[in-house]
This record gives sequence, structure tokens and C-alpha cells, in this order.
Amino acid sequence: MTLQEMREDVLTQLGESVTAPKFWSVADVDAALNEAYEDISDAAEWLEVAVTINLDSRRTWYDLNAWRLGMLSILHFYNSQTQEWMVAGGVRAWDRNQRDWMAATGEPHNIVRRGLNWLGLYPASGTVSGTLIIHGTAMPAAPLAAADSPGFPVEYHPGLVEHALANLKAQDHEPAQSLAHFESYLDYESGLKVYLNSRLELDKHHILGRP
Amino acid sequence: MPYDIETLTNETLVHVGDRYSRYFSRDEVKRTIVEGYFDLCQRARPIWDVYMVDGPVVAATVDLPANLLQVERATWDGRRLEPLHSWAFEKGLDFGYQTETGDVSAYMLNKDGIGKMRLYKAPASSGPYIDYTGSTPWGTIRAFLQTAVASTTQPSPRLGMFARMTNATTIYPADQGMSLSPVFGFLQAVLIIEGAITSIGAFLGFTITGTGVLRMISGLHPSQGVRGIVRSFRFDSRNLRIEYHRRPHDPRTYRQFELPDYSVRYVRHYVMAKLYRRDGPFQDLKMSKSFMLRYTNAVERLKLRMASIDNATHHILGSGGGKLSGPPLAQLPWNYPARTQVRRRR
Repeated sequence: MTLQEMREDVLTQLGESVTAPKFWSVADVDAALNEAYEDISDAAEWLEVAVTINLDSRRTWYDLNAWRLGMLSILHFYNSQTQEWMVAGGVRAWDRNQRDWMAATGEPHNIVRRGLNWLGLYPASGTVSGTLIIHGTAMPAAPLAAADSPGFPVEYHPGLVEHALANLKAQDHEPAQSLAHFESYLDYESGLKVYLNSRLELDKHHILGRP
Repeated sequence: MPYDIETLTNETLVHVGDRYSRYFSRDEVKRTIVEGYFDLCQRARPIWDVYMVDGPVVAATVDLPANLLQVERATWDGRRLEPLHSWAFEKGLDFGYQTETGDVSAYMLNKDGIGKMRLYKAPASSGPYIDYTGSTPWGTIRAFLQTAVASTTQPSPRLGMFARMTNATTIYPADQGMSLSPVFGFLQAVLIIEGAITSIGAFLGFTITGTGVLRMISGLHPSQGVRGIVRSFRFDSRNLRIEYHRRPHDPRTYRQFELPDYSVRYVRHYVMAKLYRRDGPFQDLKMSKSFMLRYTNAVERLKLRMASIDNATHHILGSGGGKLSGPPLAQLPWNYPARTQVRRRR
């Protein structure tokens, strides 16, 4: 469904004219639908991305927030110079193996996340050249325009309509209807999560003793 | 959309159905936003930062930063300190732990108050630091004049723009130079120097070019947020470094939230839960419960997200995933009693 189609669906369910709405403006409905799009993207993490960051000389800590990558979970890391997948570790293991690891430089092969925004490399890169490719999930970069469709399967698009209705009904002081629409949205959200996590299940061969 | 507190306040009022703030005042909403923001960071601990003591560390106890939520790691001279409880020393490790001086190898957080950390042993000497004696606390750094390895003194006053590094031969060691070309702009943020640096000159081999605000120097880590003006340089050598989770800066003064926009929306759920719970015509306890559930689920999601990097960990058969066991604590031999007392002869 495009944003236009979802907008018409919402206006219809609100009892408004789809061409000349009176109480709710088109901007209100579009804002509610885009917020629904962000919420379901945040919860289900359907958008898988790979972003490249440049390495700096002698820099251990990289601020993910500074790049405004919009990343949610960060899962795998690839060092383009050594062409190897990096291993996530903890600073405690690094402290145990090399006490002055913070001063070491070389090609990074270990990685750690501190808090939400800081990514640490060990050893720190010794040169200003080199890139790191981060694989993970992210929020959609831009809100939907009228002709755009959400990037996940169409079966879950009505969830955005339900979420938008829950939002607008709450603004209109209709709490019972708002909660009912939100419950309906949650069904779509959990359905999308199950779909994303089970994409291999049909074709997978299960070996005795392993899931 | 990058959030600031005004934007979030407007959004919250729209979502609760009080678009023109006729029932809920903007101040009330902002206060609740700050409350929710602090609560989110307390539960999920998403903001990690580094703190280093400003000035020489020669005492056994140091003050912890006021915005500290939890210490994650502490180092002395770039090497990790072991976190210990005082009873480990009282039971026989070192009865004189409160007065011993020497190499720092451990730290304690009990017995001296919530805002204090005790080092074991108390450092015998401190590392290099920049001494701002005689300078006002305002303004930007104007120049670096270092005449000895141990400390350096800033000229006073410090007001005004950072204009030029003067007389490179006064930088120690003399063969390490620093040039700025062109010379406009501000140094940015508090920069912590990592590694075994013993003097400013030991790392100053770079050239800064361009105008505007200096954001990052290789090897230096900006502490306490990436906004603001450089206030000082701090060294790892013979100094205490605390890596910790901190409370965020108040968005009413810091102007922006320190979290990604999607997680700032979680704060709105908290605020709406509180507003719906307030007594009055807007009260709706079911809506309040629903939004609080959305908030708590979002906090759990944030925690899982921070742990998602563990997917990239390689587990070796028989290992539990890299948890540190470390060497055992030093103990007296088995045939010594738990406490040895000196009995006076009567």
C-alpha cells in the first residue's frame, strides 16, 4: 500500500472525506502514518543495512551518533583492509590479554560497543586510511511520500493504519477506541517480527539434537 | 528529525490532545520529559563516557563525577584497576590499605561515601597535568606553554578566542612542534589523551588546517559530550581514568538530547503515561498503563540492542562467552587465622 492509499483508509475510518477532510488535515494523517512507520521499524528492525565508516589514526572510540547513521542493532563488522570479519569482545578480555591495549596500534580485529553510541576498536588503526563496514539494522532514512510504500511485506501495511488510528483517536480523547486500534497494531507488529525471524525455517534441515 | 526539548514538548501536547497547552502547562511537560529522560538513562545506561581527574591525583580518595550512574572500568596509567570491597583488605589482604602509598592496583567504592572512590594504594606520585593556577575558569585555551614534564602553566587571563600557538620552541620536547594554519576557530570539547603520554609535546606532531570548530584530534577522546569548547587536556600517565555510565545533560540547558531520535520517543511514552495518570479531566488509567507498558518494553529493547554486538562473538567449545575470571584474590595461607591481633602483655 502506498502512503496515499493508507491515508485514504485512515480518513475513511475516521469518517472524513478522502478528498476534502474537515477535522483532520492531510498533514495530520501523514504525520501519524509516518510515526507508525518509524515505530514498527524500530520494533521489528526489518531494514538491514551496511554502512562504511572511515578509520582514523590512533583513534579507539568512534561515536556512532556523530554519523547520524540511524542504526539500531549493530551485528557484524568487516575490516576492508584485512578482509576479515571482526570479533566482538569485551574490554575485560583485552585487559587480561594485554594490559596496555589502549596504546596499541595496528589493523583492528576486535570490536566492542560501550553504551549505545560508542564503538571501540582493538588495536586502534595506525593509519588514517582504511574503512570498516558495519552490518546491522537501521531506521528508514526518510519519511514516506504519497507514492512511497513501506519496505516490508504488504500484509503488514494495515498495521500502520491501525497505529495511526490509535494515535489520532487518542488526540481526539477517544481512549477506548485508541487502545483497541493499538492492540490491533501490536498483532501486525508481532507478525512482522515472526516473519523476519523465520525466513529460513521452511527450507532448513533440522539435524537430530539441534534446532 | 533532530529532537530538542521544545519539539518534544509540542509533540507530547499534540499527542495527549492538549495542543494549545490549555490544561497541561509547558513547564510541567518539560519537567516530566526530563524526569523520563533521566529514568530511561538510569534503566538502560546508554550513555558511556570517560572521566579523568583534573589536576594531580595524590590522595587516596578521589571525587567521582556528579553525573555518574555506574562505574564500568577504572584504569591507572592506562592499566585496569581491580574493583574490590574493603572487607577483602580488612580480612587480611592489607590492614593498612587506607594509608599505604605505592603503585595503584585496585579501587573501592564503599565506606567513603557514594561520591568517592578510594584507590589502593594511594598514588606515590602524580602524572603530568595542566595547571590553570591564576586563570579564570572562563574562556578558551589560548596557548600551551610547557616548561617541564611534570606540569605546565597556562597564561592568564584565558579569555578570548584561541588565536595562535606562539613560539613553538617553548613546547616540550623542543623537537615536537605544533602549528595551526589558519588560526581561527575554537578548540572543541574536553579532550582526553589516551596512551602513555608524559607531556603535551610527546604527541603534538600534527597540523590543524581549516576554519571553524576543531572536532577531533587523532588519539584524543572528547569527554562529557561532543559540544562546547575545549577546557583542558588530561593525560593517562599516572592518572586515574574512570569509564562509566552517566546521567545525560539536562536538555533544558544542553539544548539537544544525547540519544538517537528513535529512543527519545520512548521518553514521550513515559511522559504520556504520567500525564494520563494525573488527576483531572484528562485522567485515563488504562491509557496510562498502556503507555507505561510501551515505555518499559522500549527500555528492554534498547538494552537488547546494546547487547546485540555479542552476535559477533566467537564462542569456543567449552568457553562461556568470554567472561573474565581473573586470578584469585591474594589470601593468607590456610593455617593463619582470619584476623591476627597483637595482644598486649599485662
